[in-house]
Amino acid sequence: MNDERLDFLLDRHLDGELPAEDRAELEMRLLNSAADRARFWERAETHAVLHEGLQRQAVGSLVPVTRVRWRRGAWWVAAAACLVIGVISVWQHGRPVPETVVAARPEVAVVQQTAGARWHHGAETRAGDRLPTGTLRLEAGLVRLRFFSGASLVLQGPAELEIKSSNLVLVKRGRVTATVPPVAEGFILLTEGWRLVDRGTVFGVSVPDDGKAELHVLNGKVDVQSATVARSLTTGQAARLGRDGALVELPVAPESFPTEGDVFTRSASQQSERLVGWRESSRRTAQEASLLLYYNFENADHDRGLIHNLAPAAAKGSDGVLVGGEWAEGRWPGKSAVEFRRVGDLIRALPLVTLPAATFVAWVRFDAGFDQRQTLLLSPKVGPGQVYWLVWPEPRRGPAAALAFVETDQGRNRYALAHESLPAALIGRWLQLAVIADTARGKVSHFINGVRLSEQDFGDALAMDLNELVIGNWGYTREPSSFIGRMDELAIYRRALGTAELARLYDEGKP
Amino acid sequence: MNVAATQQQVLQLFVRHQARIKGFIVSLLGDFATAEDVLQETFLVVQHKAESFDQDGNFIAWAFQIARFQVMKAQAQHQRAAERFSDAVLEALAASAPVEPFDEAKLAVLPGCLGKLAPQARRIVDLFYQHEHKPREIAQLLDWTPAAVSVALSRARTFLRQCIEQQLAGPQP
Repeated sequence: MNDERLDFLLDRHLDGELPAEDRAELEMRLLNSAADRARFWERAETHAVLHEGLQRQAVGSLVPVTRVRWRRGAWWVAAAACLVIGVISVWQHGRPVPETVVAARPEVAVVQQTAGARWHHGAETRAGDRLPTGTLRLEAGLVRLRFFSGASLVLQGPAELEIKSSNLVLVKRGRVTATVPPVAEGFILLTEGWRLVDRGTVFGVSVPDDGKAELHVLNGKVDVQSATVARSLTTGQAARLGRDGALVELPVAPESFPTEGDVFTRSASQQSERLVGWRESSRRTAQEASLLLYYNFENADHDRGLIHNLAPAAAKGSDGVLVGGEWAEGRWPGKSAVEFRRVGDLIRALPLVTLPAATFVAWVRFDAGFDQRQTLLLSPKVGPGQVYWLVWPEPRRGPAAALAFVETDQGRNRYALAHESLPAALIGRWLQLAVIADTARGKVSHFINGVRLSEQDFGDALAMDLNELVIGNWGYTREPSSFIGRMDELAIYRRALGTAELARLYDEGKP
Repeated sequence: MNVAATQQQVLQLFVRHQARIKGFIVSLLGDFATAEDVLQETFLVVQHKAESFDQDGNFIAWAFQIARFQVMKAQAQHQRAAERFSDAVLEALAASAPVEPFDEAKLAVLPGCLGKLAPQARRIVDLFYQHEHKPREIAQLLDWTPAAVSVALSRARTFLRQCIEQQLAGPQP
């Protein structure tokens, strides 16, 4: 029997996209008609055959989850006008903005530590990041993951995993050590041909390129199922997947699997190397003649709340005075930062200059959502040349916020906005943010991690008033505008920095 | 037969009929991601209850009952009421589900039939069934409307079902 309406409803259900109002109709039909139920199973059978068939084929050739969309022209100007008052004409060059299209996958694991990790396609997955379900490809190095279920995995690259949920992971390739505390008992690792159900243990799995998986139980018990065998292996037992799913016993080889200790040791030594490298770079930065202000937040005078301006020939008064805010850990263990949370967490300084061109570079970490304005830096004196550098929420455009640089003259404001440049995924990560404000040439650009996000025309030349600065807060408004997060480096140059210089600073300072 | 041997036998039945049980779960849920978890939960319960399986009974029917309860449990956790079938509907569907084993012969002819799809339809089928993207995500990836993706999926299913049946019926006169 052919019933188009029924097939439509059944297919929408199988697609996972049946609207609520249609579901009631489908339920009524399924409850009342045996023929309709039979049709359900007929349609479902094809669905199941397709899923099974294509899943068995699914090796490699996965679709990347990000793509680059080319944005052009001034399509966003109308939206911006809703948010701000008195915008003068601004426009944006077409620039590729990486954009996560498939962000709907649930997050199921935390990256706890990485050591020399190199990811497929140069992805910058770091400690603290949350991982969604899907494919994870590590080309080299060691990584420790902790699933929300409580199970943890140490991966040694090259490795490829398909994370199905916080309890279920398919190992396609590579060496993996699983540590499963009692709370996560029942954690399952799949390999081609095997299903391993953990019973509270530490075990290693390796899947070489020829696909012949090995299981080594280092401590505890693991249930193994293949197409023909179901049995348990316990401490000190190891096996290889043989022909037709048979288990071929092997001598256990604990030393061939990476441990949590390996990741910790290598990660700690790499972090201290990065810190030493950054200190070297910071010493060179401090000799740069065009610096107006340079805080690296090291050797600060904690008792008097003073942050020394390390720029050559620093003006008296340009040392930062820490009003509120707490000392905290920066990009690496042993590197200090200031943590900003509440109103009054701010730094004040008096550089006493007016500049036609300047570059602002800050290393910051946002610790809260982007649903309120967050001030990175501003000159508080109302009048010509007053500037603000801030995060600007864009609720109409989705969860991401814009970076904004605003120059104001009592209501006649000029804006440079990098729309949707701060997606929620950046929360909790150390970022290098920069603004190159060349108002003499009438151009203002925003950068994240050395990459230019936007360049905007800023109209006529007008000098920026940097006589007085407030960092990390607005200071005198009822509207909440506090930066919530940490800052561990801030540099202001008296000139427009080259993009190559900025990229070099990023490379030397990235965590 | 001793307990361990019964359990062993039941687990092997599960492994053998896993594709069929998974198809059952996937169809009731309308969601691939949750289906994997439900299959694993079902496996654990089957293992736990192995002794209560009647050796003369139908394993698939027995496993479906366990799977249906796991589907209900997962739905209560993951899906809103408007996105899932009521328990009464799940019960009616489970009672009418065919208990034949998964037909591996259909998988054997599937690649040939997939090869006959138009390139765009093939791409959508891959994105949905292999990469498990939701139709909404596919629409975004391809710059299509979600409705057009749904229509393409429906047509592909109808075509592939007919093609598979024809292939299995043998060469046409």
